[in-house]
Amino acid sequence: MTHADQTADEGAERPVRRQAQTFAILRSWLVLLLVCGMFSLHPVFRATFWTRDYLPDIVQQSGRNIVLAVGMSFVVMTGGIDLSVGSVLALAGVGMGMALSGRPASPPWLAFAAAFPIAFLGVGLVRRALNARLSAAPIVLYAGIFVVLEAVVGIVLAQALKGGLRVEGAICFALLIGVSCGLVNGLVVSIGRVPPFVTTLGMMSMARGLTLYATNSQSVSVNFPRLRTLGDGPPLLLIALAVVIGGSLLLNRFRAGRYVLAIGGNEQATRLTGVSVETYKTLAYLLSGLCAAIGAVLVTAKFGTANTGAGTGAELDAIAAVVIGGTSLSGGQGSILNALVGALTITVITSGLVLVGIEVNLQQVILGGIIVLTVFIDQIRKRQG
Amino acid sequence: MRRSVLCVTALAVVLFGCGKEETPPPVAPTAPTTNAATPSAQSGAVANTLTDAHLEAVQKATKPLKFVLIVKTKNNPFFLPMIKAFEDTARELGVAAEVQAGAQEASYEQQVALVQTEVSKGTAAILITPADSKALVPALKKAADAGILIINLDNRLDPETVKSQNLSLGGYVGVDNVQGGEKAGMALMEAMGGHGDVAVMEGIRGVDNAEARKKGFELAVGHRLKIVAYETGEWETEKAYNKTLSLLAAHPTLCGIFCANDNMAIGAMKAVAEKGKKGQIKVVGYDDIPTVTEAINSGDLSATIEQHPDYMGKYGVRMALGILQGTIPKGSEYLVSLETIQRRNAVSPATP
Repeated sequence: MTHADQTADEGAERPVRRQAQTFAILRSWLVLLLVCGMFSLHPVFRATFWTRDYLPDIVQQSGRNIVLAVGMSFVVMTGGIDLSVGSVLALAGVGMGMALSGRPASPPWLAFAAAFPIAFLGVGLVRRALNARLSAAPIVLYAGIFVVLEAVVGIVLAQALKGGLRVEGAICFALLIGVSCGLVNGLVVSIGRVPPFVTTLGMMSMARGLTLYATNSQSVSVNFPRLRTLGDGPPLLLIALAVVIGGSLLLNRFRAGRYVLAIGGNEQATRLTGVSVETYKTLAYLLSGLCAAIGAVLVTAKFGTANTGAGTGAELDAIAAVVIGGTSLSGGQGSILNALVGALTITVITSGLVLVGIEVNLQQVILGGIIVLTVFIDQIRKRQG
Repeated sequence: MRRSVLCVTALAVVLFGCGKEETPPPVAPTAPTTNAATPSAQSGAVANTLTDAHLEAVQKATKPLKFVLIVKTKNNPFFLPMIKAFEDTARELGVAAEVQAGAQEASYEQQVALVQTEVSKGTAAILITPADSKALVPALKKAADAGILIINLDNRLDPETVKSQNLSLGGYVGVDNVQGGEKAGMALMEAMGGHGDVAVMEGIRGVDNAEARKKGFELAVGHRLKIVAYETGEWETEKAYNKTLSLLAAHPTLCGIFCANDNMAIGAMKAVAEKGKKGQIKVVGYDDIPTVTEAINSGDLSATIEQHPDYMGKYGVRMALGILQGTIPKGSEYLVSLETIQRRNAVSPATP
């Protein structure tokens, strides 16, 4: 279904390119197989890992990281990076928790933050409609529309939050918060031209701070059976799969996906072909924010509590999954399946190290070593090929 | 609230006193008693240990003073009661209060910067829960030299470093994490019926309280339970959940897990429940945060340790003011008593 590793430069010769493509598809799976094979040398791993009891645990453990890595893939493919996903996850999580339980009450500013993407979308639609008739509409008009929409939607949301939301509503609220953070990241990076590292580092700090500020640093208990089923067994698996399939389709079957890759390949050239680089770059960050919020729903549902410290270090796990999956941090190539396999590989490594009983301090050393080694071998292969 | 207090101070004495000769510790569930704080096992230096009475006797401030509390992070609910008690007590005693915090549990560089800023702000006393027991000493030394009184709360500054850098500390208010670890160990042992395999879910390695809790746990269960694995959940729910799933697979004989904080205990309980081993595998946490109250009441969490962080905030202010007024000698120490929180009917089977 996927033609993974779509490179933006179309100049390469056909046969070579096809060979490279086949390898790129197999590559991430090879790494996963190799890791499993190496661990299988250990008797305890053989006895415990390859069982019907344990294999599903691997998915349960990596579900959240798979979702985050899919979003991260889009950003990395544009040549950017998103360091804010862990903090955005926490903010979306407590947002959902407060919307559901009402303890502590959700602050009104959170409703206005969640209203931002809706207002922005509204302005975009109006602009598209007007552009057909009006060559240049005054910026004041758009600003006016934005302010009105933001105020109306924000007030409606704030009112709805006061009464407490149903589970579905609270999930939508969480997703809106995630999208809102992603949209801000995207706009600052693409229109503000602030480097992605700086922008998302700032958002990482801001979202974590807002998480603590909104909840007065208290974790939120969210013990709703209807929500909690989402974090277990099959539902979690289905949500993660849906995100992977959705991401793959978007990347391979829609123009937006091709543009994202093209921007990472050569931004200037893409701009010259008339593609709105700003739009599609923003889209990548928006998707990353959305995935962070989906991750928040999964984690909150699983543990029945929205921790203010949730997702600490999650951005690094997601980046590691993307990289170990074979997507280049310089952008322009990669596939969503890479992210899936990468996330699974990371989980196999971390849980494998526990299974075979490696000393805690050494576990980190080995994980870090494997990540660097994988990318190092990739680089050697590229230089030769 | 359905709580009961398990006083094991006597046990600690038995354990420390007997040394090699191990007798089965008589686990005696008693009514809440004023638990006299045992002298810290980790501090070598002889300190002037205060009692509640000394600190309650401190009088209202006569001149305007400002105290600053620097906690590790507001990310951890543990510090919130401390902050609140600090502010309340300061108001009560007529002292201006200010609270500062790092972003993360380990943000010691930020704390160093915060201490440095305070030097020029005319602060009378800094109360600090250091994010690193060594790295903060030089900055605190500068502050102390500038005439600011330093009170160390919770996580103890490394006595060696304090000595070698010649830092004159105002005092220490905190808990004995070794004792807390022991209490957790006792509770887990009781829940498991005195024997079986256990795993330890540690906090971040190298952090003073994580190491002390582990040490205390080992002291309590060392000879009776078999510790089959050490893992770290880095204080985090999700990480602890992942590690526990693997631990359960690797050690089918596991009967108990000690988690060095409650956030990790939530993750461990989830993994145990998912694998259908609820009841078979006992989980004990630490900190008594509000989100585990339900689990304690339902019996999913066998026990947790309440450290009364609010007392640290309260008595920290009182100690600082007492020293400034000259009623309390410099270099004093106050240890807050710890409580084991369990479900009531887990202790006394008589209640239905």
